[in-house]
Amino acid sequence: MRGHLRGCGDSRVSPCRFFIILLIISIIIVVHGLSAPLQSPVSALHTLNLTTAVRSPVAGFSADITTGVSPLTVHFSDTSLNNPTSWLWDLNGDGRIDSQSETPQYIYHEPGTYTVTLTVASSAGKDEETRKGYILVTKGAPGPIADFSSDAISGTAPLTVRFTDRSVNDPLSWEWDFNGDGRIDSKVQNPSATYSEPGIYSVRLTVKNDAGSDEKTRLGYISVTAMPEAAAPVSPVTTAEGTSTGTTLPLSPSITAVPPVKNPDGRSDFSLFLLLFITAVLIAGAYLLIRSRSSCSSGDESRELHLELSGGIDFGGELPPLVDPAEPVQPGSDKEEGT
Amino acid sequence: MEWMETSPEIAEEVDVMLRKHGISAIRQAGQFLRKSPSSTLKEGDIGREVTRRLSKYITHGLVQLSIERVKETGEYRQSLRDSSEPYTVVLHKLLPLNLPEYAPRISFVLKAGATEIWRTESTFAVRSLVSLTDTRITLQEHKLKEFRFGSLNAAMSIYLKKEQVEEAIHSFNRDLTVPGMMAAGKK
Repeated sequence: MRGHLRGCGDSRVSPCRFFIILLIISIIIVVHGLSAPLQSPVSALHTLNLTTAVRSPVAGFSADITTGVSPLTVHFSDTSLNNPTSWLWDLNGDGRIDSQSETPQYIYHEPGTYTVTLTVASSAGKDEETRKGYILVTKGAPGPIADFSSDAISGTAPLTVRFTDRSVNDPLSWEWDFNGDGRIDSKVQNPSATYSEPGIYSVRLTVKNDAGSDEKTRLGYISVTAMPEAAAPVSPVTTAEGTSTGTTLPLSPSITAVPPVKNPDGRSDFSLFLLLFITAVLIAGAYLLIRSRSSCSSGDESRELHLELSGGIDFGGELPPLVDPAEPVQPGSDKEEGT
Repeated sequence: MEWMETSPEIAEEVDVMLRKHGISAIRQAGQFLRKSPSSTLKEGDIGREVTRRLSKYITHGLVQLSIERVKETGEYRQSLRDSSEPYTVVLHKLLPLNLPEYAPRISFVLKAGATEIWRTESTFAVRSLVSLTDTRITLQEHKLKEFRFGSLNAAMSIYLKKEQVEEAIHSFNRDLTVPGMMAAGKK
């Protein structure tokens, strides 16, 4: 059997060349194997860095409004640090959770001061912030309170009365019933009305605004007496704001003139007239005499003139208005120093 | 409802105001009464009663609005705490409080027996700036239980409201006392 080693210069792969190639491949493999593990410490370092960067959350919050009138809607914002992943809000200080949203909204219906607490949490821990008396809710504007006055309350027909609205808490609309018949006669704030029929009239004012409504009725407020001569006014009550309401007031019968008694005997007429005149004078005199005596008696004060004062305070919506009831003014002692 | 006791200083100022300025309603009522032989009322009696009522209304409005304004201060809100037992806090110095305007009014009704003969009304406007020191507040469960002034100074202007305008009729700047509302040790 013949065999011989091939030399390096031989064109076929010689052992020498084979070993060189094998050596190069081995070096490549070693170098690659040495370089691969170097990458893992780098990634490990990154991993370590990520772990140490996660911190426990620090709770914090704010509100778009902290003071207002009821009902008050408040939008809360989370300003916590370190990225919490859960939020528990107690928005009215009652110890119960009201929201788990990051940015809740809450409506405070009742006046008062409210404590707000936010508890935040993440995988790194949890934290809480409480602000006592954070939200202050005051009472909303009250509804209107109706009231009115007039420049006259009695007189002879036709009687024109100017009414003044005294309502408080800013009403936005007015409805007047000048004669108590249940129908609206005017919607002007300060109207006038003319009463052409004798009678006693109740007046009602109804006022409204966004917070509610109220009405004020004064029974028997306007007293209208007949004119001295017999007359038969038939025109309806009219208002002075430019248009007639067309309201008719048939509360008392029309006064009709009494036709004179025809008597052909003039002398009898004169005697009858004289007799009636004397009788009227005697009756009037007796009445005045009785009245002057009775006014001196301590028990009879039914016709005595007296002054009553009443009053109150209008706070313009800041507080409910106050009313002080009427009391008669009493005469003081002469020694007392008056204004 | 219970009215505040009148501040004597406010009563003094109102008396000076009515003497100096006068109210047409008082004059008109006096004229009516002079024509009535049965009435023993004098214009001085009416003025005295108007002074009494107006002083009462001005005092009451001043106190009520001062309390409301104090409740809106940061010092008051910081005093609130969850406590079922009452506790007292002294608010030593508050910024001057600009009170909202309030309108006391007095109605005059002349009657013969039960029949109204004449009626009118006078309405006033009161504007004031109050300075409070050592205000004592007692709180319980976030509610105000008691309020006492340490010292109360008011710069006040009083206006008479007419149809379209209002007329300034009096102003003053002085320390006030309100009986029953002053802290112990203060008159």
